[in-house]
Amino acid sequence: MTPFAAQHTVGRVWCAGLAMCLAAGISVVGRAQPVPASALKSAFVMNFIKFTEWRDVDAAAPIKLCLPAEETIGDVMAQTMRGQSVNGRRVSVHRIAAVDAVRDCQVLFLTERDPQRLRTILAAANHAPMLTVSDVERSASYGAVIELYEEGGRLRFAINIDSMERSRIKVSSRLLDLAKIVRDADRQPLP
Amino acid sequence: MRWLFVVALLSLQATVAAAQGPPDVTRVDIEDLMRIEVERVFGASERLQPVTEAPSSVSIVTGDEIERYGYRTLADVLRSVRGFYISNDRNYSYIGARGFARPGDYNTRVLLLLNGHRVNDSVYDQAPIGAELGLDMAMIERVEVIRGPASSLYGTSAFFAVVNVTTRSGGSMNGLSAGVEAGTHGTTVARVSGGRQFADGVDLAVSGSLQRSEGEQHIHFPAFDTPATNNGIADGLDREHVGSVYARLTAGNFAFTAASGSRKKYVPTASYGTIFNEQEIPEQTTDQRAVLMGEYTRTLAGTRLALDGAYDWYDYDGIYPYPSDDPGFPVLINSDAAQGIRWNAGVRLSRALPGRQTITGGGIFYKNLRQNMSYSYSDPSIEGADLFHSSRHSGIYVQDEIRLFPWLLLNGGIRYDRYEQFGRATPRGAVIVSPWSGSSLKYLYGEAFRAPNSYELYYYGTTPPDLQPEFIRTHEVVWEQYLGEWLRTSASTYRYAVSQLITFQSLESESETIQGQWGFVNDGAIDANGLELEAEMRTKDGLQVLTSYVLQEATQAETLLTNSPRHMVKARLGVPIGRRAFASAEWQMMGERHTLARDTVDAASVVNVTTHWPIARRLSLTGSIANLFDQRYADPGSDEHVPDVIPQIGRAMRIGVRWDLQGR
Repeated sequence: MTPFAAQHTVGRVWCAGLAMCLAAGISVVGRAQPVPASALKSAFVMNFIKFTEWRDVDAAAPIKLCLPAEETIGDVMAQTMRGQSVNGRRVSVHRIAAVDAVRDCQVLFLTERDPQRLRTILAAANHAPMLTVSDVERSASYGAVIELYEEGGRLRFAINIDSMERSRIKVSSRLLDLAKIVRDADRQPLP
Repeated sequence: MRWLFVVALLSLQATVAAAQGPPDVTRVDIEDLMRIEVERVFGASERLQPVTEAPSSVSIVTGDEIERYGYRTLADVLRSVRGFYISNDRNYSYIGARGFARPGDYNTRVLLLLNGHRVNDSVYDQAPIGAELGLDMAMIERVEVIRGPASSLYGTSAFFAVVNVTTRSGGSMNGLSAGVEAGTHGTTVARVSGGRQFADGVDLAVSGSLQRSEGEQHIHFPAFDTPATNNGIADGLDREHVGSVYARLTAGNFAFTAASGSRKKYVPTASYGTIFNEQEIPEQTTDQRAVLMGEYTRTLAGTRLALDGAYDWYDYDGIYPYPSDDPGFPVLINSDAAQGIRWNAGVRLSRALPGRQTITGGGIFYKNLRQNMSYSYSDPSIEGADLFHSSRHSGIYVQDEIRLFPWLLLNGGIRYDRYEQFGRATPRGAVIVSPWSGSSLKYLYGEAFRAPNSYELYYYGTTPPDLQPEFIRTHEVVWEQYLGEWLRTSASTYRYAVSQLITFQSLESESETIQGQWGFVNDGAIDANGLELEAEMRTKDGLQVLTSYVLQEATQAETLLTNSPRHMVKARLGVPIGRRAFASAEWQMMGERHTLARDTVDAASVVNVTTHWPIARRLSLTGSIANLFDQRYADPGSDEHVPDVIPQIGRAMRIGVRWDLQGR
């Protein structure tokens, strides 16, 4: 697929598949072709999974990725991430609607904008061997392991080292090098 | 089985699509990702709803818990939940909720949903919670038990509670599993299931199961204890045969479910005045169900759209042997049958509005193609009946949730239902206050109705034509508190008022012309008050302790209802042993209950234990003992039973072996 053709496809079909969008995005980086945030966030989450190790987990078992049941971005992520494998492990995508269902997740993507609710969910996830990723502002300083945020029209991410240690997961140094490091002490009130 | 072909065809298409290979998003390096510009997309709508903010009091039982505590039917699941109790008449299981378990009520006042779709049939409105559900319990991802009326969202039957069963996805099964079980009372079970998430968003889950049980060989009913009726012993009449198949396919925005189940049960209680201990042609019922449903969900410009349609088929056959005076017919056989066929279509929309508001609305239409009932006798000189009916009804609803302050959430909804005989609007409201993180105080106001079902309207041919729906109004205050991450506590107190109860009674007072006839009328009101306390503890290692206490009082004309215990205590403990083994114990205590004859059955106290042991990489053993201490207790019977109480099954053991092949 030539870059031009790919770009054309993106214009015509709103993200038929993430690979296409990304192919378009990557190949036209120089020309700053934007990619839908939801598709981009999916790709980030896949990369986060790739560079994360869970202790005490059967290496052959699928990775349970939990996405919010009722969220637009969850739809896009579920569509692009179903059937994918990371490091030889299948990613099994679960749409969850109740906070009680998060307990067994290995990866939990949170889009909850309501601070009270976000706090409740993060409290339920805290200490569990779970990679919590959120695109909510200041979520890392409030306990999510990774926060995706926008800067200069591009996505960046912050990692809360304390949350990572509490959750007994190991995030590769390659991610840590690219991330803004946050600690619990940086905690600010949520918006 | 035409739908099997459809499923096969769809999965074939899916396989063809999958062969083109999935796009590998992990191939894009994270450094490159960080260079890509973000396109502005307006999105974000609804959210994860913490239990503390649901506009009702909710309990969730997961598939893991079903396995770990050895629950064999939905009735077992509901038994484990705070405030619910189950009675069994050796044919069906009946739900008791908030002190209500009316004799003769076929679970018409609890709405059972399978992946959000109404399961209660279109003739009796029965929620099948025993083996007659026709779904292998191993296929359940979780069961949500939502207390209180919910007609404002779901219409009729959502009277005392809604029970929503969500099934497992292929991705969560990821492989093949086969198991066999054997147990006391001649019980054998075989099940096979498989599931997989393919590329391109295609997910397939299938299962099939067979179960046979001879049941208790000799059941003693003191009411029949005469030499002429085998000294009150029903021999070999507790048999049950069950079969089920299930398939669910998700592809992109579409999801299809096809399920079918069948159960045949012998009835040892000689109900409806049949011959006790009849061996030639035993009293028996057969329930069969099948459903085909499709859903389509997608998000358009921030609005989430869900369309769904379903076709339901339900069939019941009963054989009832009666004594006969005619030497040509030593046994007079009454064949009773019902068939319900319906289709429905619905739409649901939800979106977030500015000002921290979420609005949901939708509509649903039901067409009951057949609501047929018939009965006939082996002696052709006795008149039978064929009752053919059909009907339609529809509902529209809207619900809004507004967060006025970070600590204050308001939730309100209303639904209008239109039946051929009546129309009804049902509101609901909730005020949820979260004074600090992890705690909430809810005030819940609810109303609900239950429309008279086809059986109540037509079976006796004598029901007055103006039979109206039943009505309930409820107030409830719930306090929920999460203490740290390991302890959850809740306390709830409620007041329920039911009026216009649809009651089976003599119609003599109703009309001169139908003297001596029986039928259904709106008569009676019930008041109930209660207090429910619950505490749940979970540790990081997987240890779980759940305890609850319920005090309730449901009265009709200032008399305590039959089959309504004042006290219930439940406790369960689950202990992980090593990495994959698990042991659990459960204790359920129910206080004494009145019977129809205004007698009393003793308090019942039952302990169940279950364990799982992996013995090889792909093999595991399970063992369970229900009613470990062999408590001999009884449930109150109904009008159709000569015995005032129905003895319940004693100790029952089961062992099983399961083979799992995990996909990669």
